[in-house]
Amino acid sequence: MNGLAFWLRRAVPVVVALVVAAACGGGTPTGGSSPSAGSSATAKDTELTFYSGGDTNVQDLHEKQVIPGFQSSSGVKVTFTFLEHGTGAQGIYDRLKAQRDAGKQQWDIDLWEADTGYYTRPDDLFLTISDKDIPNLAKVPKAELDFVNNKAVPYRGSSVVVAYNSDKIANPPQTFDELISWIKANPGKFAYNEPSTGGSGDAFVIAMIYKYSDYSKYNGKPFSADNEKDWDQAFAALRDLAPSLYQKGVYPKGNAGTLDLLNRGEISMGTVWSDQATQALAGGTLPKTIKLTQINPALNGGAAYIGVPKGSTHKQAAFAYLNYLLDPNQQKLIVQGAMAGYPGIDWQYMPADARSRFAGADKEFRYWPGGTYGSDMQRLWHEKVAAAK
Amino acid sequence: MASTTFAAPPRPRPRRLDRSRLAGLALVAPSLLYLTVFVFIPVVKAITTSFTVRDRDNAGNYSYRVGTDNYRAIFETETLRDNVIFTVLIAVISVAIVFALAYSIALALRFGKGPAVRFLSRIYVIPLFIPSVIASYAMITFLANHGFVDGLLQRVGFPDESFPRIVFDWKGIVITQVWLSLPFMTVLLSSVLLEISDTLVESARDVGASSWQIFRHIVLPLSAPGALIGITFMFLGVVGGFTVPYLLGPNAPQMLGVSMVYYMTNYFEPYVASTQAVVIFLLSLVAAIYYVRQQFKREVR
Repeated sequence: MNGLAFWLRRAVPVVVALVVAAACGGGTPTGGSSPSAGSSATAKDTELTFYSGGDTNVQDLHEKQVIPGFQSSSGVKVTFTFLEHGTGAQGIYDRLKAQRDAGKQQWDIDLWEADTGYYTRPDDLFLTISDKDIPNLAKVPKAELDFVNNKAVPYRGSSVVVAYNSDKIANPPQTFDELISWIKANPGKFAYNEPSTGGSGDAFVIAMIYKYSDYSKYNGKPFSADNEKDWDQAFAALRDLAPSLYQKGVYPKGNAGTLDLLNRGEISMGTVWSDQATQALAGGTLPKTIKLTQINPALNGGAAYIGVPKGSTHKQAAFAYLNYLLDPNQQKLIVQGAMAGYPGIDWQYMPADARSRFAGADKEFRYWPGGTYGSDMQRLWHEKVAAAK
Repeated sequence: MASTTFAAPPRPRPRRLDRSRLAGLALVAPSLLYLTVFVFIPVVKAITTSFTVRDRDNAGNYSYRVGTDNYRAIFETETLRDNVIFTVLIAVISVAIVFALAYSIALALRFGKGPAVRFLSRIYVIPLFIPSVIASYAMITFLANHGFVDGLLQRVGFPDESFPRIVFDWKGIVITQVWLSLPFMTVLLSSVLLEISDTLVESARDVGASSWQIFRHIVLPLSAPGALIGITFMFLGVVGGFTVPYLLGPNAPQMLGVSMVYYMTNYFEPYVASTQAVVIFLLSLVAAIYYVRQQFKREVR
C-alpha cells in the first residue's frame, strides 16, 4: 500500500503536467505556425488550405473526386476543412479580417467557399481574379462574375424549382402569382421548409421579397439596409398565406423535410433544390410521379463560389486548383455525378452527354446575395411569419 | 536529568501534513483545471459577450459597444420573450408528468408484488438505452399525422384529419421528453423508496395506520428530498435540451436551446445567443441551488 501511495504521489503531478501541457497545446490558435510559411511567390507551392461549407454532396465532390485528381496531377497537397451548412462562416470571415487588420502578410486560408455576400463586403478581403491567372475563367458566363465583382470564381450551380405530383396536377403553375393562387385554391397541399433550415425554403420567401422589392436593387449591388424596409409587405403576404399551407402553417425542417412530405404524399407541391430532387428521383427516394418545373420569374438559385483571400500564402496553387475545377472534365463530375448540379462554365463548353441531363428543364434562375440579407431575412421571417399571432 | 529522557524528538507531523496536503492538492488539481478551462472561462466569456452590443450602419458595417441592450431585447422582443416562457412551461409540464408517472411506478416496484410488477421492473428501463435522436425520429413516424397511430385509428373508423397535431407542436416535445426521462426518474425514486425501511412501514401498520396514512406521513416525507433532486436534474435537462425540441417542436415559439443555435449560426447574432445562454444558466441556477443545498445538508449529517 505504501508503495502504491508513493507512486500515486509521484504520478499525480506528472499527470497534471501532461494535462496542462495538452490543454495549452490545444489552446493555441492553429494559424501561423504552418511549416511552409516561408514559401515565396516564385517557389512552387506544395500545399493548399481550403475551407468549404454546404451539404455533404459538396464535401464528397471536393474530398472524394476533385482533390485526389488535383493532388496527383499537380503534386500539391490539399488540406480540406469542411463545415456543414455554412455554420461558422462568420467565424472564418472574422478570422481572415483579423489577420488583415493585424497586418499579417501570409494568412492561413488559401481558398474559401461561402455565401456570395461575403466576397463583396466592404472589407474587401478577396483577390480580384481574372483569366490571366485562371485561363478557364474565360469559359464562365460574365454575369456570374459580375455578380460578385470578380471577387470569386463560380464553379457549380443549382436552383430552387417547384416539385409537383403529376398524378394530381396536370397543369402546374407557370408564374409566382399563379403558384400563390394555386396554394390558396388547394389548402394544405403546399409546403416550403423553414428558411433557417435549408435554401429551398429561403427561395420561396425570397421570391415573395422580390415581388415587393425590385430585383435590380440586389443584383450586383452592395448591401443596403434601406432595401429591407420593403420586406414588411412580403412578410405580411407570407403570413396571410400560412392558413393555406401544410397543416395551416407547419414548415418542415430542412430541404429534406419538404422532400419527405412529397414522398409520403402529404403535400402535392413544394419548393426543392434542382440537384437534390434530381438525386432523389434517381435514387428512388422520390416517386417518379414527382416532376420538376421552373416558374417565371425564376426562383432563386445561383452559383457556388470559391474566393481567394488577399493574403493567401499559396496563391499559385489556389489558382491552379480553380483552373482545374473549371476544366470541362471536372465540370462533368458536377453535372453527371451525385451532385446533379449545373456547371460553372457555360453549357456550350460541356460535352453533349452532360448537357442532356437537364434537357427541357429551365436553367435560368435569379440571384440572392445572402450574407447579411440572408441572416436578416431568416430572423425576420421567424419573427414576422412563424411567430406572428 | 531524568526528564530529558522523556523529551521526545520533535514529531515529523507538520511535514507529513504538508505532504498529504500537497497530495490532496495534486488530486484536486485535474478537476479544478477541467472546471476552469471548460466551465468557468466559458461562463465568464458568455457573460461578457452578452453585454456586448453590435450596431450596424446602413452599408452593413458593424460597430461594437458595451450595454444591456441584449437583455432588454430578451424581455421586450415578443419572439424572444415567448421563447423563454415557452421553455419554462415545457420544462414544468414535462417534469410534472414524469414525476407523477415515475412516482407511481416506483411505488408499485417498492411495495407491489406479482407478475405484473416483475414485468414492469424489467421493461421500464428500456428508453434509457435509446439515444434521443433516434427516439425523436421514432416519435415522428409513430405520432405524425398519417403516421403509425393515425393510420391505426383510421383503420378502426376514425375520420381522416381527426388526429390532433402532435409532431411539430409542443405536445410532441412533452411526450418525447417524458418518454426519455421516465426511466431515469424511476430508477432514482426507486432507490429513494428502498431507503425507507420495511420495519418502519410494518410498525405503522401494526398500530393501525391505513395505507394512505402510511404514504402521507411516512413514505412521502421520507422520499421528498431525493424526489426533489430528481426533479431538479430533469428540469435542467429539459431547459437546456436541443435535439428533441429541434426535431419535434413547432416553428415558433422555440425552446431556448433551439433559438440559441439559430441566433448563433443562422442569424449571426452571437451576442443575443450568449444572452440566451446566460438566461438558461440562470434558470438552471435556480434549480441547482436547491441541489447544492441538499448536498451540503447531507455532508453535515
